[in-house]
Order: sequence, then structure tokens, then C-alpha cells
Amino acid sequence: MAKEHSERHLTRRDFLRQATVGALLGASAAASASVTHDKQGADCDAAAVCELRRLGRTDLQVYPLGLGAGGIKEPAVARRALDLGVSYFDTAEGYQDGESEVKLGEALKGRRDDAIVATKWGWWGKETADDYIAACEASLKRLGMDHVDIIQLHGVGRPEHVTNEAAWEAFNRLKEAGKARFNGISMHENQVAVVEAVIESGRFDQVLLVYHAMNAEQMAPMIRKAHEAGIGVVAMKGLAPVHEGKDTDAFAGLPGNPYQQAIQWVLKDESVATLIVNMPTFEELAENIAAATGEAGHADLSEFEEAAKRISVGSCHMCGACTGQCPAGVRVADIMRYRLYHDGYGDRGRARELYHALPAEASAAACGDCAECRIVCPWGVPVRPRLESMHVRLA
Amino acid sequence: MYALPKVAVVLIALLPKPDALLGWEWRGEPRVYSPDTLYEYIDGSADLYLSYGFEEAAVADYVRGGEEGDWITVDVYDMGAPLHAFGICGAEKPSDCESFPAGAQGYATDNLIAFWQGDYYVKVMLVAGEDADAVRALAAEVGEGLPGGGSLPDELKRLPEKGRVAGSERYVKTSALGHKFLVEVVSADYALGDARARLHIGDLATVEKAREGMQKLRAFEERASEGVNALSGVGEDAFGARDPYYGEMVAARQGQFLVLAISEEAGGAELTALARRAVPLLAPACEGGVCRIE
Repeated sequence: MAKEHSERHLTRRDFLRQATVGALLGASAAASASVTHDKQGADCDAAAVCELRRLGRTDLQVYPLGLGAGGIKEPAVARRALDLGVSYFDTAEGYQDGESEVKLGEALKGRRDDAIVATKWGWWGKETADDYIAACEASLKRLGMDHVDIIQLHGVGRPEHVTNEAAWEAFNRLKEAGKARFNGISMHENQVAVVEAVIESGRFDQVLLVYHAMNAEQMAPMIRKAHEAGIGVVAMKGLAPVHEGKDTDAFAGLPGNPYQQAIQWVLKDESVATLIVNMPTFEELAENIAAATGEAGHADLSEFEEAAKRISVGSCHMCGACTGQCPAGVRVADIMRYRLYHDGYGDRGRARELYHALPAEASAAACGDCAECRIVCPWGVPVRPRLESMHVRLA
Repeated sequence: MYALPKVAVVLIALLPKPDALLGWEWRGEPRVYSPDTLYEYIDGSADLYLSYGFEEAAVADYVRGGEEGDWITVDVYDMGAPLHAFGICGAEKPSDCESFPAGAQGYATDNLIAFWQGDYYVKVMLVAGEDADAVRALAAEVGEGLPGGGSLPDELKRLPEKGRVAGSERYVKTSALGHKFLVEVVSADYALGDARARLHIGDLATVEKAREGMQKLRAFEERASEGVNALSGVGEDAFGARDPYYGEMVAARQGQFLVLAISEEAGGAELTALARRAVPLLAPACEGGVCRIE
């Protein structure tokens, strides 16, 4: 059903882009503004935290704060990020229906060699290596680049999906053609098992995973293990504890800015090469860079860590323990992640879009048939009330 | 039996009738979408519509020749106000399109005609087939039935007319140019001799917020550019700078409004003159700290 949903809309959108008839009217060239380089670079003297880090066994040296371009609005903000030393830029074919890649390409125009660009393959709608190659080439066209540094499988939630022969063949062919340098994989749930499978496969140069002060107990050892195996670790959703703590004001009494401390908390783990953060405005960019350089934030993160621990019980860790537990087939882990997008990031559109892409039998609508929820969350998340609440808000 | 809300019935009535074109018919009944259900139709794009004040939409499919035949979809979005309809139309307008004589600021691509009129944003899309004439005819039909004329929203009167490039006007509700404080911005291109410039005017609601916004902008330019130089005779708090991302910039404040003239081609003197043209149009009427344009 999710696949059908996606394809239905791709068809609708494809026709908007492609000429199916003789033009109603002609086209005009798009203007693109040229930009100059910034006089400043990041001031890395303030803290060692912003020294470049090597991405696993690759030859890529990355700035520890990366830009997640899923929510990119103005290319100028990504360009400024580049000027300030940010080197890692993450996008995906599915973000903003391809517009994220277009805007990122515009931002990096003329400075491709200064940036490390990672994009992602959605695994839906692709069966053969040719399908994956065509998708990567479409991404390159949108980006206006001849290669990406990393091509990643997007959102892999099961260990058995790590070994994807078609994608593996596609990557090797793309690498040979000089169109993709390294191979990566992203995940949101069931991360311990998926990272184990990634290490076991020996195929991946990079992993993109959820890492923050709340899931450290389970993820920190896995991250170290991946790092030691030569796999470059890119972290995401590092601000999740602050988002989770919004309702309870968990970080309200903390000295300093909790978002900055959340960033610093992730970056103090040297197994992490870079943390990607969505930064749609200059203000957010400046605030996050200040955290990465140590110019702002807080030297002592113990209070932040304590607050994160306090809200840890009852908060979703995206551990994936609930995956497959629901007898009715409700995709609990996915819905919990959409809740984070909705309530935490305030990205309601994305949450709703993803929720509506779920098959009806996998949405929380199926909850009503059970007298009592059988899912036991190891972190004490009240699963059923949250599912029902999300259904009311997203359905 | 489920009865459609009155507003939905009114909106459906704005769609061309099923027999509006000879040989065509509706595929199924028209659908109506609310702010809560718009995602079902346009997925994540709904957020953009909601940010511009979307209220309701009516959609109908026009088909000819059965399942494999021609197919056109007509969308009518009630955006609640002309400025909102104007804003979403501009936000969706691709760079590779040309103007089209429908509603206000109509445009066309290979398979789409879109325009806004009054509170409404209209899209007529050729989904399958090659009948461009039918697309044009349906677009004209919708336009004739819509209330509201083709004049621009009142807020665009803040933009001087002299030198303004027709069709280049835009409205951005939040975080214009990547600055969080820069909201409620109307903008347009201007021809300055051989050069082009873009004028942005943000309504920050109060003088205090506008002052604060100017301070933030100046601080940003002091960090990002080669430096700023104070200007006189252009509103208040005015300065010039060479912004590394957008080009030469002149910024000024007039009451609750911020004025930004930006160009990759024009010099500071030309931009200052452009900003000067805008300032008198923003003479505010202030009451209780809140100023409104007269």
C-alpha cells in the first residue's frame, strides 16, 4: 500500500514535470544568483570539538556539524554553512519531492569540491540494479553534480534488508563510473540489530543513525563498534531529547541553551564523525555552529545528561523493540517516529504525509480491536494512548 | 446521509460543470479537502498551503474516452484572502513557465495552467492526453465563475510601481531570505537601467519588532559581509552592505516595515534610490505602538 501510495503520487508529480504534450507555452531560463565566499571560517580555536574528523575508512574529513537538507528552504543558508566550515550535506531523493536536492545543488554550485554530499535511495519502487542506478542519476541531475560522495539506502529497519543485492550491484557500477564514491545506509529503528548486520556485511563505508542522550546506553557501544570496524558514523536526531522534553519543560531550568547542549553531547563521542541537523535559517545555523565550536553551550553537560535521563523513561528510544509485536499489524515504531516529527520537530506535514502513506491496517486505526495493548515497551512508553493520540491528529 | 458543509457546496459550484466541454465528463464526484485532509491529496506539499492560510479545496477530474483516454484535473483552493492566494501561486510558480492570460498572474507550463483570483488559487492540470485546448477552456471557465478581479492584493501597493517588473511580485509569510525575523514580506523585481534589483518589504507588525529586526540584519551583515556603511535619507537605521549570498544590499526601516533592496548587478547608489522610492509608501499610522499603512 505504501508503495502504491508513493507511485500514485509520483505519477501525478511526474506529469507536472514532464512534457506530455506539445508545450502550452515556451520555457524561460532560470536565473541563478552567483555568490561570493565568506570572509570568515569557523573559529575552531575555542574548542577541539570542531576539528575535522575522518569518516571511517574513507578519505573524507568532515566537520563535526553537518547540514540535513531535508528541510532546506533558502539555498543561501546552506551556502553560508559551507562558508562557516560545514562540509557534510545530507539529502535524499524523497525529500521535498526532489526539491531538496535541487536547492542543495544550487547552494553548492561552484564549490562542489569543498563539500561532501550524501543522498539516499528510497528502496520502494526499485527492484533491479538498473532501477537504483536510474534513481541515482536522477538525483545527480537534480543536484547538478557529476557524482555524490555517499549514496545511502534510506530507512532500513530490518537486518535482512541490509543485504540488498540490487543496490549493492548498483553501487559498484556507480562507483566504477565515478558517480558515487562510497556506500552508506540510514536507519531509524531496530538500530542495534541493523548496525550489527551492517558490520557483518562488510559492504558499507558509512551509517546514518539516530543518536542522542536518551538512546546512548544501547547505541554508544554499537557506534563504537561500527567506528572500530572502519565504518563512518553520521548521527542524526541529536536534538530529540529536547524535543521530547518540551511538554514537561524537562530542560527549562538548565543553564544555557538545551539545543546547543544536545549537539555538544553527541559531538563529545569521538566515534561520531558528524551530526547532521536541519537548519533552515541563518539563526539556527549560527546557534548550532556556536555549539559545535564551543563558543556557546555549556562546558559541563552533566545537568543536561541528567535531564535527558529523567525523561528517558516514557520516551521513545527508537529501539525497535515494538517492531512486529502488534498482533493487528500496527507499525508502532514508525508511528512513534512520526510523533517525533510532529510534536518534536514541528514538522507536521512530514508526519502526516508519512502517516497517510501507511497501509490502513498498519495505522493506529487498527488499535480499536484490542481490549488491551500487548506491546510492552522496555522504556515505559505508554504505547496505546500515544498511538490513539497520533491517529486523532494525523488521520 | 452525509451533507457537505455549506462552504464545500459553494466551492464545488465554482468548478466547471461535468458537461462544460463537449464529450467530456466527470470521473466520479468532485472531492473536497479541508486543512485536516489536504495531505491525502497533495501529501507534504499541504504544509506550504497551510502556511499560506489554506481553508478548503474542491477537486474534479474531467475525462474523455474512458480509462485510457484524456484526463484533466481542476483544483480550486480557497486560501481565505487574496494575499494568501497570491502568495501560494507565487511560491509554486516554476522558473520555467510563461505568463498566461487567466485570473491574476496566470502562468502555464507544459501541462499546467495556474492562476489566482480573489481568495482562490486555481490549477488546471493535463494528467493524460494531449488536448491543450481543453486545459485552456477549463481554465477560462473557472476564471469566469470566480469572484474577485485581476488586481493585485492591497499589500502590494507597498511596492513602488515605477520600474517594477510585471509578474515578478511575490509574498513570503515566514523566514524570508533565510532570516527568521523577516516575515510578511512582499517583493518584486525592478529594472534599474540595464540592471535588475529585487525589493523586499517586510511587515514586522510593530515598530519595536522592526527595530529589533534591523539590528539582527545589521549584525548578520557585519559578520558575513565586508562590513556595513550607514546611510542617511532613507527611512531610519539604514545601511548598505555587500551580502555574500544575495549581492549588494541597502536596508532601511520605516515604522514597522523593513525595506531591503538587493541586486547582483546594480550599485549601492541605485539601490538606495530604489529604497527611497519605497519609503514614502510606507508612511505609517501608529497607534499604541502598532502602526498600519494608510
